[in-house]
Amino acid sequence: MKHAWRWMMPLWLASTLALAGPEAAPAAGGADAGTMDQQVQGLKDEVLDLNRELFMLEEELLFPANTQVAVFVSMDVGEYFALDSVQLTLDGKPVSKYLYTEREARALNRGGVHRLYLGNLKAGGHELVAIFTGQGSHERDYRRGATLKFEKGIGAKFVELAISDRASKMQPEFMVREWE
Amino acid sequence: MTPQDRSAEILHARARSRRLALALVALCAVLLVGHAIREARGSETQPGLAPDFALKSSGGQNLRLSEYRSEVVALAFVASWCGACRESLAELRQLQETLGPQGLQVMAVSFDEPSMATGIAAGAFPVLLDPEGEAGRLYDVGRLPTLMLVDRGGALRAAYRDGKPVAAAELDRQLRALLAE
Repeated sequence: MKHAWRWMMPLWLASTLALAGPEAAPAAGGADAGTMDQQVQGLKDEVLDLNRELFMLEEELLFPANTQVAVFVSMDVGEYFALDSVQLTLDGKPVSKYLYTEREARALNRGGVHRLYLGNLKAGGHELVAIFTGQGSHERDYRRGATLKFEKGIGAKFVELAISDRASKMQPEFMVREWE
Repeated sequence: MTPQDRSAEILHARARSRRLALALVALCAVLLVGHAIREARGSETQPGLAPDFALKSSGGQNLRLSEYRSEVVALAFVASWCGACRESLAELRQLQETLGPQGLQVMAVSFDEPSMATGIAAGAFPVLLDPEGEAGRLYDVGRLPTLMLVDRGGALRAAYRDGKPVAAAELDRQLRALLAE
């Protein structure tokens, strides 16, 4: 028993870890409420700033400019097409499938642009295929594809998937174009 | 080394092995008890944002979880072949009716094929179709029914994963507490 502490110590540690629950918040007492509020607000602002900086840093590290490729969706449609989803493949590999809610489709209609995909590609030739699903006029189901072959150079590559009305044919038009 | 020294060494080694084995058994027992206590407590999780997802509903609309911020969401993972899910859904229909005006939104995520999922909620709340289990994987759903409670800020506040309907009184208490925040 002289050396019982040698095996009781890990036992004690394990029981503490296993039964540990959330810590109780310390009772706030004796501090000026107004000053506390200001301090808390200040801390919240700092946390938000830090969060934003961390997000930007994460993007720069994960998607450096020399390999970055970003795909955006924009919409300028009136009566010919209601967007349901967009599916994206790059070099034959599915990379994104996004379902658009009514609220998101309305935001796109008002001029919003959605970043559908952010990834990395090595320099060279690549092929992007976008499949648009939605409803056309007379509530007819629509499924259309658009393809873009592009060269990835040293800098970041930005591609836009644009959906617009083509009044002359009374149909929606789907275009894939590169931003210079 | 004399035979007596050797015997003493062997005895010493055996005693040490016995102590180690006892310590390991005790450690396992403590960990199991701790785990059981947490399971019995069942629900509380460390707050973190509930994983976001979008699915098509049985009504044909695309619904995204994050668009329900400012409401308390009860997310029930169910299937038509799950008997206990029917009891759970009946409770949730009742709660939607009672607590809906205070900001509760119940949503069922069904793993059935679309044709099998109709009628699950009897129109009381949206049924999201997840035949490929995308949302199920995000929430690590194993047994059915599984229920997740998301607060008005989008944080996952409770997870009931034991495959049994949650007691009505407990669920009512939890939801009222979240709605009051």
